[in-house]
Amino acid sequence: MGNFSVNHYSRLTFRSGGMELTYVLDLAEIPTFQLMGDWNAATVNQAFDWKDQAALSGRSARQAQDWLDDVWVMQAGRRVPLRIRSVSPTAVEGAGGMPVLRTSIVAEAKLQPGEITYEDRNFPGRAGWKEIVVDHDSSVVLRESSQGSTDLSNALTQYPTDTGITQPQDLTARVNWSAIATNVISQVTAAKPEAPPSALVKSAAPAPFSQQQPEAPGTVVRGDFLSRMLQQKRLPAGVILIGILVAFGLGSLHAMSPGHGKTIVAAYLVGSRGTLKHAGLLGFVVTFTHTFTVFLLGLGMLFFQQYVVPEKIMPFLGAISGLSIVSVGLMLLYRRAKSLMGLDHGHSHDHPHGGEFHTHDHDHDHEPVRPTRSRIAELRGTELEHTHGGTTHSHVIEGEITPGSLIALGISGGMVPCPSALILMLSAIALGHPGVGLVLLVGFSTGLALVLMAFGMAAIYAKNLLPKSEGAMRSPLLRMIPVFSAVAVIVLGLAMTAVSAGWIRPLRFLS
Amino acid sequence: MIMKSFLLFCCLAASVTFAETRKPQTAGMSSDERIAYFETSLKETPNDATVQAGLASAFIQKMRETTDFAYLNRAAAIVDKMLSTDPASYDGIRLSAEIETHRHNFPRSVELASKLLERNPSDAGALGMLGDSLMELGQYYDAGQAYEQMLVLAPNLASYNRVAYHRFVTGDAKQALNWMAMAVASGSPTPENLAWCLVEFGDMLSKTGRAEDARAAYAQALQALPGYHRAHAALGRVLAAEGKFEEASANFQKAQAVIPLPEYAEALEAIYNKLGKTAEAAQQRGLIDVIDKLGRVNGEKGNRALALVYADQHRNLDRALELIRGELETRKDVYTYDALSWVLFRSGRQKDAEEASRKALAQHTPEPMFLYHAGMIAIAGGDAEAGKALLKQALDLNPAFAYPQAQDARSILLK
Repeated sequence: MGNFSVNHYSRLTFRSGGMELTYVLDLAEIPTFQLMGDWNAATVNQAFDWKDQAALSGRSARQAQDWLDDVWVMQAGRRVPLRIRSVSPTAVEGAGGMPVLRTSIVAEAKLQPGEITYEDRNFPGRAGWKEIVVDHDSSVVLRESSQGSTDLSNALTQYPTDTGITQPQDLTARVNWSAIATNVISQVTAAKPEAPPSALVKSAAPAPFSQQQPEAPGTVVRGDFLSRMLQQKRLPAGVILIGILVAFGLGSLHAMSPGHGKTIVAAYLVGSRGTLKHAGLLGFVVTFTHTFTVFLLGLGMLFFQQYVVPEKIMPFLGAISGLSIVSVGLMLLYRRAKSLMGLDHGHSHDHPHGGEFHTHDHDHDHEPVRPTRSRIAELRGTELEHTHGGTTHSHVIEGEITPGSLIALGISGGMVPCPSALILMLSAIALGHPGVGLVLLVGFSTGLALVLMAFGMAAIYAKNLLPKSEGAMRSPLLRMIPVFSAVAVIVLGLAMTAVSAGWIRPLRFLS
Repeated sequence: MIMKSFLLFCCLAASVTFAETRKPQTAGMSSDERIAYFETSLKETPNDATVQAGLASAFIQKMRETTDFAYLNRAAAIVDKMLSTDPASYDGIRLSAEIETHRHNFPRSVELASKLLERNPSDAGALGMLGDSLMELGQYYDAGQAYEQMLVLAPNLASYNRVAYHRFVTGDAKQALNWMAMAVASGSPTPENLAWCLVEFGDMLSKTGRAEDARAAYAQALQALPGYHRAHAALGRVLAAEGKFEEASANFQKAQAVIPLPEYAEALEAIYNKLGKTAEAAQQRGLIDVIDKLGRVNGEKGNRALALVYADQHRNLDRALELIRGELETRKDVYTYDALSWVLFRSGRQKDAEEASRKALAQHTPEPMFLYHAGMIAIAGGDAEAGKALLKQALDLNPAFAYPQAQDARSILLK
């Protein structure tokens, strides 16, 4: 470590009634010089001599309090004071005959069993060894701890020379602790229990220390479902927000992609003289039928995770999801390749079809066709004449537009999930983030719904705004795109499976 | 369909991001977490060169963030191991070149980067490293060529900011600002890289008289990387030049808390003196001496920044000359010649100073400080008219280019 580093060490020992903290700061030559300079500046009479142990102890006692003022122990939203028990400074000669100072402070904090957070705010940003060790005596059990009990540097007295061990960089810790036996029971009866006492005692019996000790099945309190979901993703809010915005954008673009239900929605509304309200409802219903089952899948997965240890099940789930993506891809490939061949007769559709009506060979062509064909033809040229191989039939309940008829219209397209949304969700599951997948799916669906609604409204107010699709798919290359995208789905699924099974480590390819 | 492909692409990108964050150790992809991630992987597969390279790379990034050379040494140890197993290892040579750049061994870095380009002429990273070292060696034409090739291969933050720096040094401030704006706009997944560009952008803006915009760039850098010492120091410089000494000292203190560089101590000493805090000022001077002392212990041969500090402070000029000559052995860019000219001038070696000054100005770099130094040297050499013209040029670029040099220049012009 450099001549300007400051090394930190905190040992948090939990025991009945609270925590003992051993806090050590090891200052290299430059920070020692700066600190002793500050001490000198505050000394009017004489310069500070670091070799004078009595003077050093005197200064260190005051300094220790300053340092502990920047060590935060928090419980239940309150800062818990640290009471100093002892301060032991050691100054020795370092490089160039300059002193280096190591100060060991022992302090204690009175704590209630439960969760505490620890934060060392001294020398923020300064390079150095930053180690936190969490330990406990036999009267206490740690239910969860962000750090382990392995002491790498022996309280900053022996830095490992093994090049395989890097400087730890921990300045914060989170520990959830409980007292064993009688203490626990009294705590449970006195206040809100952290968990059923039986589960606690059971896990406490051998009192082994383990990091991130998983909850026993069934011990989860439903109330913290959401917090767990949020905690699980460990992604900053900004990233999630951007993700939602991107998903929203993708949803909107997706709705605008050729062959989407917007055509049908618009045609239906125009044909039936729908109102803005209808346009809104229809947009919602179409989106709902597209993504509903995908939402169910994500929610189910999230719920399922509460009852199993995610680390154990994730590789399997990931592999299953990956394989599901592969199968979606294979299905798309099959239908698209087939439809590609069927397209040779020269129809100009904005989405390729198989010869058969209602095969759902495209992700969004399962909307029903309204039989008001003359009006549709007005809007869309001759497209619908060819859309379904000359076969048309109606899913629409004839007559006045009612919410019921709109829902029936939406649902009649089938509950087949939108492959794009499905791939999004499966990818998130494969990667162990169903919560994130759900959040992104909300964004995606909102984008999809809003654009569909907008198209409906545009159709009502400005009929000529609807896009023309003629000629868009004439280029052989463009016609191949669906096939390529199906292949991409398969590759993605295979990659996902391989990542989940641990065959691929994506990070290796990033550096 | 196109949209679907786009969505898939995004899924893939997201999958990489999520996969990284699957393990809590690598969440957020900070350098520390990358280090932890690769170390864990390395335990499983100790001889996996890809993992070794990833770890070495993470160490180098961490060194960039902390300026703690211990990390560079760790990276070097890994790279040595890689090269002893496979002397032709591409990654090993690439990382070696990077390490030599950070050690200011620019001729060696040029050699290594050229070796990489022989094997793979379209390695944008190698072109970047080659250009960087050529810049430091003062071979600006060749550096520009390397950067332009890099720009074609990889139009991103890494190439934009290099082209910007090249344009700035070779006297085209307008182009430099344009390219740097592109670099900032294209962003980076590593906050330090973006913050670094924002500070460079701010510096270019400040040197060309746009203090307000510069401050905004520094503020953005601090948003991208809270506590970033270069951003605090840059803010401190602008604030001190504007006479806001209290705010300036707060910023320099923050920068110094992260890393005690000699130029930060120099600035703080000047500010404390201005504020009448003589004890604090004396302590900063003591710190500069301590930094020098430890540099000697560590066998440091050259240190341009420290040489400039001593020249500014009219002290330890023999040591300053030793330090700048040490630097000149491997670094022959306009900044080194500027520092050399200033040290020579303060050492009373007028003729040598004038020659070095000419070299510093050869590229017409819009650096007010170059012009200030050159102006002072010209005046001392008897050419008051040329000297004053240079000082005026410096003030024209930015009327408050630095504290206390801008005030100094103004008072000389008034004489």
